[in-house]
Amino acid sequence: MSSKEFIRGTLKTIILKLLAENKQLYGYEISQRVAELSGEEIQLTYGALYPVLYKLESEGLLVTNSEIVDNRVRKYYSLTKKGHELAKEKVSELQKFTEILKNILAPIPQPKMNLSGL
Amino acid sequence: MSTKLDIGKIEIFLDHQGLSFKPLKAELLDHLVSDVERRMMQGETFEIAWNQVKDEIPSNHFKTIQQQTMETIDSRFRISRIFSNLFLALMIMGSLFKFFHLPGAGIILLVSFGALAISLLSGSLSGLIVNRGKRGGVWLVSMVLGVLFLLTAYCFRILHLPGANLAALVAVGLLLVSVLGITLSIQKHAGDESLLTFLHSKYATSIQRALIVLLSVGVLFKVLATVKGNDFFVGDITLILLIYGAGIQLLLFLFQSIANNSQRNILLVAICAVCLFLPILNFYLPFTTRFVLALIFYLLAGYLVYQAASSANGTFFLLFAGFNIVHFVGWSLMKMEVLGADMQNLLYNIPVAIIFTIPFWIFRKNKLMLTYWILIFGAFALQFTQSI
Repeated sequence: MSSKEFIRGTLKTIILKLLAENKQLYGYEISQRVAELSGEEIQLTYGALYPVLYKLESEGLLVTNSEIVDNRVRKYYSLTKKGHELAKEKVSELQKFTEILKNILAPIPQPKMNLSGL
Repeated sequence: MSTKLDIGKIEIFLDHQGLSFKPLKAELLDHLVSDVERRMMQGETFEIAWNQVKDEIPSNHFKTIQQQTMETIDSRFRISRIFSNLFLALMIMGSLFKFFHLPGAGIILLVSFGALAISLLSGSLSGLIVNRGKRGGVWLVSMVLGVLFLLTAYCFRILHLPGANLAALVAVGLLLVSVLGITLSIQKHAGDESLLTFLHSKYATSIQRALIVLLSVGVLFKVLATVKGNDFFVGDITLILLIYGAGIQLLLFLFQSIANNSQRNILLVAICAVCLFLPILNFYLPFTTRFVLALIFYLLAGYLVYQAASSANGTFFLLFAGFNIVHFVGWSLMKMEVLGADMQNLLYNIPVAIIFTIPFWIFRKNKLMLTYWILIFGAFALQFTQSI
């Protein structure tokens, strides 16, 4: 169901929203949360997730913290102050947009045709 | 749950996918292992779980991610890249001016050092701002300032200005403080990547390219100066910069690859650093002391590279590294007039140069061995009729 184009356009907001609700998350955890919350409809590929995470980090919206877990490095992401502000803004923008879309996509009631005059 | 051996298998898979950017590789490793673990907890064996995960990965997927990620990061560091390219261009131009005795060579070389300084400063400042949460910002600043003072020292030497020795002394102090800081930081927070090693992993490929250009310029000038009988000054300055650049690159590679796994090796890397930086103070230290320091560096760094690289070319590496040490000892004994032999003879140096060129081909795919060899070749070229 979920088109790649829709995900690409909203992934930044999805990640920001998830991180705003959690103190910190690592890459795999983010992909699992998205799958869980979307009822397994959205499966984030590595290619979709990691370039966005690095972009958000380079924009100063995320900070990272590495920990050793079971002999491997785990990189946790958390929001900066700027990231928290942008998360609020982006989520509200997307909510507004989905409302607009809902209205557009809702079936338009067809005007009843008056045949009596014929 | 997956065992260490299982993680090794996934790591090999990632290596075969052509992932060279370490932070991304470590992150993807954690992602894949977590996915395999989840499937194993649902009752699958490691082999089945791993095959399921692998089957879901499209071909060349990871290489594409790496490329996209690098493009994302690089846009932030564009200024630094522009100035590092400017440094190389001016360096070559200034050297050509000097070689053909054209006016303005000294100024061009100085501006090239300035471009390198701006590149280093802008890259490290961007790195500090973007990665505020990472540990070790102070050691990064100390390392960058150390390199800047080193450049200043050589600028002063080119211009015959007073204060070159003082600048070199400050440079050594800052570089040693930086290495000491990284060593202690890694000992205290094992596994936690410092800002310096993190940023270095992003720039390592570009630095390697710059080192190869510097080596080519340095060697070319030594060859031309030998043929035409000109002075060796420009070639020597280039090669000295190359040796310290390659040395710092090698130390950071070593800190990254082994220091997190072995406390003993961290100390060995730190000793290597001391032996690399102290000979900068050639005006304070007698030749014998510098010879001993350089010998310890070659031996220790060679051992650490051999340990860390775990390459199929290990035997070749030992052979060539051993040959270099024998050559270096011979050259030093000649310099100390213990040996009466003439190692500046072209009949001796041409075959040695050919032998020293072979490892570039053999080690071309191993960044640690290649960096070690760039340093060795630079030192070999410098030793040939050294003017400074």
